[in-house]
Amino acid sequence: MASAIDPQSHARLRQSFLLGLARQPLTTPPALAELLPHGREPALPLLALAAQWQRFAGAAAPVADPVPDAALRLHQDARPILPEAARRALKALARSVEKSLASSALPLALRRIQAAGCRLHPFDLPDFVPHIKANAEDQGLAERAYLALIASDADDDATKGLFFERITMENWTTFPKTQRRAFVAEQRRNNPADGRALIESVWKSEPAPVRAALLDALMVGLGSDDQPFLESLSADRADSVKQIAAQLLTRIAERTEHGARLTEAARCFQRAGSLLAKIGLGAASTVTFKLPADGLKWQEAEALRERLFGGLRLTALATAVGALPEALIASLPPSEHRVLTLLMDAAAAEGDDDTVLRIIGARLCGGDALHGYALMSLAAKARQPLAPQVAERVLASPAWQKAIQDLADATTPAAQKDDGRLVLMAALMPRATMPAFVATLTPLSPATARAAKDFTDLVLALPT
Amino acid sequence: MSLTRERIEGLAPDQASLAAALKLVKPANWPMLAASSDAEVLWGECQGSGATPYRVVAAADGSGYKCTCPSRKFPCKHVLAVLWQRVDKPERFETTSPPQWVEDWSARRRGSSGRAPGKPKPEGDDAGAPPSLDAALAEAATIAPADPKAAARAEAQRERIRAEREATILAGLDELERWIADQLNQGLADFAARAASAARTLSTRLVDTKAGGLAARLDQLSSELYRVGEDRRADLAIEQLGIMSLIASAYRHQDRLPAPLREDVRRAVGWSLRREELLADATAPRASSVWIVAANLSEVQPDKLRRLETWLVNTGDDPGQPRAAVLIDFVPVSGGGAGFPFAPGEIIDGEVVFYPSAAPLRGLLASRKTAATATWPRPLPGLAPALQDYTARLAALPWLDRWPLLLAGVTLHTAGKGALVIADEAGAAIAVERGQFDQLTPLLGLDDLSLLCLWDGRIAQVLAAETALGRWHHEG
Repeated sequence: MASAIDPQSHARLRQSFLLGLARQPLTTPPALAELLPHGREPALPLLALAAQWQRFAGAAAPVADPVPDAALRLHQDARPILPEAARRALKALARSVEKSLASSALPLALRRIQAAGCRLHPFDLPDFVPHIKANAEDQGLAERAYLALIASDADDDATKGLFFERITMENWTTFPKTQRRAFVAEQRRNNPADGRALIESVWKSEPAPVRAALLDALMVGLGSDDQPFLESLSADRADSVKQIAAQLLTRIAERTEHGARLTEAARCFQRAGSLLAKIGLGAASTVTFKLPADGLKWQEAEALRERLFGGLRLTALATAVGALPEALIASLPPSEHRVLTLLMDAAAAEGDDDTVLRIIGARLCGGDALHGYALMSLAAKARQPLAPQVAERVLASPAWQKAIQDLADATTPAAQKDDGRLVLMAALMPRATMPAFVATLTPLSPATARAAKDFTDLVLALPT
Repeated sequence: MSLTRERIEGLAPDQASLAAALKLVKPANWPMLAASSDAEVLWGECQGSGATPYRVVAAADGSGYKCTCPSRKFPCKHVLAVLWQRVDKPERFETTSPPQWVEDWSARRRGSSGRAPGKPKPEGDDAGAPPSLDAALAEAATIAPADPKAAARAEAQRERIRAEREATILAGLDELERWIADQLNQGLADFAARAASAARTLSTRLVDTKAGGLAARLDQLSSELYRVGEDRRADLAIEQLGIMSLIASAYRHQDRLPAPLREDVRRAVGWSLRREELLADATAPRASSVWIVAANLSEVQPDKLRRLETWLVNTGDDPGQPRAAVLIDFVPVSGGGAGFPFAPGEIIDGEVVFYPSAAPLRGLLASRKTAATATWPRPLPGLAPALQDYTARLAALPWLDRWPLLLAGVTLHTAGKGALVIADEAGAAIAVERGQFDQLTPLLGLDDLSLLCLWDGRIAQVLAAETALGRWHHEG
């Protein structure tokens, strides 16, 4: 049936309704006059007819764009999609982990998935986007392509497609500064001179924040060859760059400042003069730590820690102290967690994962108590799980036994909640130790251990 | 602690709950009753007044329990009924492995103190006599059989109330039409800005005149207008006020309407059909099939009720049956979580009874059994057949809000920054709700999608997709 309203009639009716009938009275289209009820004001029937006309007319058909390159790349990622059992476990973990722990635990879960050579199911990417974004430079093709697809207009890097392009020697200058910093650091790992040359080649044209980020990458493989370049930066136009350059200079092992700093840092560790220690048997238990921070404000003490231990290698420090690295770690009281972090950062910057794990293992085995907040930063630094034999020692340690006992004895819901000790410990466990780890959770209520068990389910469901 | 009648009496929050539980113990109310193989956990599904059954799970000793019903008594009558049957009729419980929702509950139970977290022991009856199961049984047994004269009086009373309501509704419609005419005189160009305040008094008046359906529509008008872009608001105002005017007019002339449309207009105004009435209506459309739960949608209404929609896709190939159905429940917002009865992806082999309508969509699940597998249906490819179906439905039911489009052979594309469209091989395209951009982006670049989406004539909300990478479900 043909419509009794043509577009022109509708436009006139619409105009009257929008302006108001008091200002622009209705003109009934002749084709409708016969259809309208007699003896009634025509406004409401005409409103209903105009409304229905609009609804049938609908909206103008939108124009579809070609499929974006990033969308194609998203599905071209060669890594296998997470197996269904692991996908279920990951979703269960996302539901069960305490909200306050999600930003710590879920990135670790994603790291395990990546380490297993898998990628998330594409449909799950939106659920994990905050954690993917937080580590954008470490992500695979599918994740980077998804970030590019959902990036806002204001995000120039994304619109240029850089989230899913691979960074190379040819295009590295077009990437965001965090990715450029990581690229230079990687180059430095292979050849420090090449990495420095990259920085020098673009130095004059970069703004201060980028220069600072690139300079920070010199931490990797820092040596006396870098000294002339760093010394030349004492005249840099940005104070932030000058500060970083000066800091790096003090960290060059061949320079006297470094030796003095190392000596000063080593003096914070006191070896007790017991007979056993003297014959090398009691070293682990006879080192104590004391920062010479008497009378210093909190910020000043933090600056001192930064100055003494920033960029320092654990092995060099242990040699200077004359004790085992494990003894140094064990001697650090909980209040000196920052020192631990600085030592781990220095190792991580060099790509020395073994030392990072050694520090974590020593810390977990050596302490007599375990705190969720401390475990949070330790787990975040671990790019790999602990070695099985270290993990077994951690599970047998007094600190872990006490943590389990405390949670099992808790009587209030708040105290029964996992404050991170369980789920983050799960994140540190190697696959081989997972059954033993789960066995230690037996005394706990299912709700308390749920997230930790979901994490173990995920790891066990990943391909080996 | 073992479960006994005395223990159930002790658990009941009051005498009325026990009496209510007693009325529920008929086997017909419980399409499913089961116990775990270690007899530690009991669960069941009870057909309540809602569109979907309530799911009840309880520890076998009564030390913990949960029910999806909106009752604010703890434990509710459904939990008491499960425990009661466990004591009196243990043979009704099938021993089987717990389904996922029961396992989830078991996993989340804290400690063994006996009550679910945050649910303190009710103290209402502590001061008085303890509730007695025997007393409840005795009370139920003494209910007198119906008196024919009393029944006739009650029927006459119902008729009188009904006639009074019809009269008050017509008065309410008069006021609605006057109000719309006033708005037209003022002009609708800036109506969105004044809609909320302008509609408030009339909405209250419509509730008073028992036209609750129209009142709800009016209450939602302001937020509906602000949900769309500014350039569309005035036209949406024309459409929404036009629909209300049309409903009012149709209600006045309902005797001239075909029966299904008459039912539609009465429901649109505010009349409701009780579950029992619908199930007993032999003329109501029914569809026995295997259904896939496509999505759960939850929306808080202005009346502080949460509207829970469970969207089902009919996997059968009978062209005479509806291709989709929606089960709608309302629960108080104050009741906490959404409590959807089914999870997206679940498969249900059951009969849906549809509310009589010119475009049947809303239904009740009359019976069901769990089905193991189902294949996503494949309608004719492209957008045209589904859009023609929508147009036909709109012609049959002029105040149709949203209609499910079942699509096959389509793809998702961007249409400018932050916008998605569904397109087919013929080059036709429809816009997708902008709020779904991030969720749906992973489907870009996938060919030959089958989709279920809700379509209002302008924007599609995608509820589920069958893809080469598996099934995608909208997470509300």
